[in-house]
Amino acid sequence: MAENILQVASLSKTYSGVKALVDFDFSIKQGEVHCLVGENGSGKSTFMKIIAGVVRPDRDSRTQILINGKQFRRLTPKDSMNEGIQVIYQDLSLFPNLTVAENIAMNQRIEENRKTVSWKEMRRTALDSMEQISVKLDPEELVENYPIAKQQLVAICRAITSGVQLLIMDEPTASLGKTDVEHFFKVIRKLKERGISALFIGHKLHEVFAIADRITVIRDGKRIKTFDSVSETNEHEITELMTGKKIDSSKRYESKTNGKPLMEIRGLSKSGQYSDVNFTLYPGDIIGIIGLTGAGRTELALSVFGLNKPDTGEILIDNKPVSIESTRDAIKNEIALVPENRLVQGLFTEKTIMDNVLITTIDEFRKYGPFLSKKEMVDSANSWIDKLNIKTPSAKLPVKQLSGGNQQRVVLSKWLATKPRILILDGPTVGIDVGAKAEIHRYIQEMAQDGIGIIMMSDEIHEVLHNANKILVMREGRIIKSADATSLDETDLMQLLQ
Amino acid sequence: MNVSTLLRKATSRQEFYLISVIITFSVIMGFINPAFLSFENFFDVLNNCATLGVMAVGVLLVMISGGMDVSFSAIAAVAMYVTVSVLNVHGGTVFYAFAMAGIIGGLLGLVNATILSYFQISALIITLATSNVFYGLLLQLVPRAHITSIPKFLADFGNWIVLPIISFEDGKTIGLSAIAFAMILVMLIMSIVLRYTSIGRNVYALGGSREAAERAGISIWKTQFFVYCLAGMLAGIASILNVSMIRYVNPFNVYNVLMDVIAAVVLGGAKLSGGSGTIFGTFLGVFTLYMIKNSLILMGIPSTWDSVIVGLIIIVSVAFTASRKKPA
Ligand SMILES: Nc1ncnc2c1ncn2[C@@H]1O[C@H](COP(=O)(O)OP(=O)(O)OP(=O)(O)O)[C@@H](O)[C@H]1O
Ligand SMILES: [Mg+2]
Repeated sequence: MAENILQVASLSKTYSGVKALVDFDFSIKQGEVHCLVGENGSGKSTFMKIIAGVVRPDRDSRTQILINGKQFRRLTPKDSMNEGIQVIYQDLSLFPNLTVAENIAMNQRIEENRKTVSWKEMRRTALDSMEQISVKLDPEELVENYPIAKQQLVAICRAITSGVQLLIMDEPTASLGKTDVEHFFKVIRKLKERGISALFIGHKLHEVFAIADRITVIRDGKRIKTFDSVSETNEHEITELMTGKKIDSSKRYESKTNGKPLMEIRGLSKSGQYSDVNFTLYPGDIIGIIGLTGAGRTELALSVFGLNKPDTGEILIDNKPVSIESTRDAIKNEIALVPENRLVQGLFTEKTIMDNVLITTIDEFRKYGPFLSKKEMVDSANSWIDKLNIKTPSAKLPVKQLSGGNQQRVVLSKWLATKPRILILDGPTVGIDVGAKAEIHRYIQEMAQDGIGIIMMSDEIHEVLHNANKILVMREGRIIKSADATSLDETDLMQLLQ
Repeated sequence: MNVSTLLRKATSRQEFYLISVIITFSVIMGFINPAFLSFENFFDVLNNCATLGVMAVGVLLVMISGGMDVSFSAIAAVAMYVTVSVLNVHGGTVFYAFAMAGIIGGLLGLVNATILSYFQISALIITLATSNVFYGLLLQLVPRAHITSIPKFLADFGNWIVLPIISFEDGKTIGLSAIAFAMILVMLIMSIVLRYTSIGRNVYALGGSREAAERAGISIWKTQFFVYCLAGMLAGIASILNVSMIRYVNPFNVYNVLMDVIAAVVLGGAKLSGGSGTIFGTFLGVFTLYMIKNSLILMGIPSTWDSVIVGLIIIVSVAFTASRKKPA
């Protein structure tokens, strides 16, 4: 059998008292895809960052890091790159102010220690690499002008430029649509045929099972088990190993829809994005809008939130036409939007969890004139930490010290805290582990039962089927199906999305 | 590329607005006073912009990297004083003057960079402090730091017209001066460095995302040393341009260009948060700023209004850069 391209033993990492990784053993053979799965905060990103050379492990004489048979004591990002390791970070780690071409060609330039740059060559590198995964982006455009899904493609392109031996991916598919994921998996398989190995970190277990040769489960920084073949296990077992408990997510949401319509969308269109969208939201409704990336769902969400002015059509709230032309208007109408690209947008990562969660509702804590009631703020922040199960020792921790999935929960609570009447969730559980997903779903359902109208955009069939009472299927900007959730099943949706 | 995308690209750039401002302004001033639109005035403006322009390039570099430098004008004052006093005694050449002032400036920039790499505190605070130290020490050691006579070769350099365009009977020539040429040369070289060298691109990368730069294996440390030393060096060079032009060493004057330079750089479209800005934009920023200040003089507005105007320009351009529509 092929030899190990990477082998680590007894790797530990402690962040000021928090044990992120404990005596961790792991190996990747040449030409295999090894998946690492675990709950939010279990240490996956920490492990991957150590291998990338950006995080230094604890000093321990037993620790061993062997890459290509070479022993490394101190690993720098450059060492790692020189060994052919390329990384797709959870937060992408792109340069928003630079062009797509420069971003993609960046690692190559640094690896080769060039003194000068050739823009022509960078462009070629970028086009080559985009061709490999069949994406078309303007190489001259600045990365910040692209939406998150496209940025993720840029990060992927950067990682597969020449010389990659081991591709490390921290939730690379978090904001990709189905077709992009398929293309991407094709690339990974192609790379595999060339003997290139991959470490894949992900929360979507069906993806893990589709791509993995081996699966390792990590919990609380410890390796729980490694399966040498996917046929040895199944999604249920993995989930149980990850969380240490059984999770039942087969129950569907039953709405107690009542009363008058909360919001009505009539003939909303925006050229090039979506056209003739109609639906009515009642209190207690969870409307699931499902569609592949490019279907126009994110654009629609932005329109309802005042960030993307539609060309024609109207929005009625409480049967009265309203104009929502800015987020201010949206907030005035008690609409909240949890955006799609949360890790990049919507967090002040240097600030504490408390500051981030309470920022939208800070006025509520004004008790003594302009002064804030500290105690109530702490209590409120703690209640959100409880509700969404944010893994942290304290509400006063800077958000950047949280794991990716826990950062997501902070953004989620920030918007839920505004107590909206209409809540738009764009990919509410992207990057959140299976166990926590169920909890968040339960929480969303509870909110709906309390009379909030919820619009949930997702590309996960399960998420929509089990949580929505109405389902709209979008495709190329049009609603091609609108039905009660109970009248649909998984295969129906799969077919509609083909 | 069709007209609308071209227009969209153009209106997303600060340069476009600055050129419009300069043209409008020139036309208006031309009506009021036709002398404004003469070759003579144009070259005069270029000449007078040089000190500001060269310093601004250094500050731009620091700002692109996401940092800040407010010590460059103190550095220029020190470099100018030391260089001229030494050359007054020992003699030398123009080359020596630039080399010496450049090295002194570079070394003081090194002080900034070193402190910055040891303590991860705000660059603004550090350079504010070093600025006080440099300038304070100068005044402490030489309380009357004025020098009224400068070496002849510097004065000659200040008079030199490298590219004469029109010659008059009385021996006066109009054209590109050596001082203006020096500024243009610095700007051309730095444009190339910023666009076509790895270190130049690393400066942009660092300003775009420090964390991503670190992860990509870019040495933060090296990049910071590069920008702060270069900013110091350019301040030193600028100080010699200044002396050659006004033939008099007055550290106070140089020290006081601080706000003008920062105003010019932000007016040129550099973001305080880092990651963006171009040399051409900065050049236009310097040019516009000078033009505005100059026309205040022409219109007879007392120079005490200067700092008010500069302050307003900073506010307006920062707000404008922040609100400028992105393309797409
Ligand atoms: N810079 C840091 N400072 C302090 N603690 C940190 C830091 N980075 C991570 N941690 C902690 O280390 C633990 C492991 O985090 P890690 O990011 O590795 O989790 P993860 O498995 O990638 O989770 P997710 O699925 O949410 O991305 C978490 O408890 C986290 O709070
Ligand atoms: Mg992670």
